[in-house]
Amino acid sequence: MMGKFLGLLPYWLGIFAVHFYFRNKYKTFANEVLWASVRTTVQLILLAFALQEIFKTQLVWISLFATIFMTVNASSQIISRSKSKVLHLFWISLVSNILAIWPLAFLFSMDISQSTWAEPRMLLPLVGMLLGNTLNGVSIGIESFMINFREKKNEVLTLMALGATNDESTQKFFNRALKAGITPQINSMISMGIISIPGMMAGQLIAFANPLDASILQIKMMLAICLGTLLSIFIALRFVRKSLFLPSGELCST
Amino acid sequence: MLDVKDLKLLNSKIINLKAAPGDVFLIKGPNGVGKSLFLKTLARLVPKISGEINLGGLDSSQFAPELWRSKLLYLPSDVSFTEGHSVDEYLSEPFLFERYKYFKPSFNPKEYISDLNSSMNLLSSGQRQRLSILRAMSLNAEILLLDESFSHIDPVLREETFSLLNRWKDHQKIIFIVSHFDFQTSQFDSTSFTLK
Repeated sequence: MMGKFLGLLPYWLGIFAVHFYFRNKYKTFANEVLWASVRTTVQLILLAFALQEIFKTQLVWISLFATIFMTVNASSQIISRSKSKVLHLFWISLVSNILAIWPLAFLFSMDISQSTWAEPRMLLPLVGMLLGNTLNGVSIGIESFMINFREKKNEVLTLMALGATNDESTQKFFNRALKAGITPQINSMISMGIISIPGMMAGQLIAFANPLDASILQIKMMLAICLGTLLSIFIALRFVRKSLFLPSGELCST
Repeated sequence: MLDVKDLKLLNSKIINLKAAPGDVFLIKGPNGVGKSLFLKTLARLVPKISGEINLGGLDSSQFAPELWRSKLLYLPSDVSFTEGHSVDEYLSEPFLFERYKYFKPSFNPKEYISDLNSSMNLLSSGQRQRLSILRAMSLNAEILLLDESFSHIDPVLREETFSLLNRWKDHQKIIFIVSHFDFQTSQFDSTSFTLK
């Protein structure tokens, strides 16, 4: 096992070199790189030990518990990334993740292995990949919507005053936010195979998997991530928009 | 008939008022007293603390918010518009809403505009204010709530706008005006209503 850890040494030497080179002029940046590298290393090693134990059990309830844990963490991440104050943001993120990601992860897992789809070995990596990739889109989408709403509140008020429904008066910002959230995903899909080989496929290729099998699995994953991101942003934005108005239809604040 | 009973605004001011078709109310009061807040509360853009607003004997809560707002149409002093829209697009924008899909306007504001293709960005604040009033008149509201809607309009255009509004209110309409211009004697047979 020690040999495996020693394999990380050259990479860590690179990180230290970067840190020491930049630390005088760009202290914050250099510290952030170092901190992120430490966190990645520690978190992934701990995850590996945890997964080793979890995978031995093959218990479905562990899958479910870990899925809930990861989803709650993803929702907390959305709150910490958000600069705008949104009422009930944690619950909004949680519900949108559950409604958008869970069904996709379950279906994807069933597609790969019908008999063992609920086992931790199958489900957890898929939930992790889907949540990790959609998180960014949801954060960007909510932030874009709130910035537009704050800056153009008078426009919303004018449209409402003319007789537009609350949905109609914010539709433009809703569409922009949806686009802003999904654009990084679309860009990534367009560059796939031409500019980039994604991590999951690269890992399989390095492990001598059949390239076509690796490609098919990667395509499925990319489409699932795209669907999950879109659905998750859409659901989250619906709730965020609803939170800006009172049940009787007035704006929550002027 | 509009009947405002013990309406308590968010700033805790309590208002009682009755308005009949053809009435023009000039809302007065010092800055910050809540004149705009009163109009926005009437239009159900902001919540009230308590009290009733009845229109034609029906309480405001019996109307869907967008239906109520189309009947009591509020115009803010700052005219906002979609960036890049022409005058024509600005005037037509409300007709994209579900509410006005099958609505045939009795008043056509385009008859009073020389260049419909001008960009809204290029118009002065006064021209935009005049357009927003013309657009509001085309939507067949029962009550217009004008919040400093003449502040940037020059005297000539203002006279013309007043004259159009005067004809509009004769169709059994009610107008509320918040303005620092003291024009009630020359233009409208209006009732002053002072918020303290």
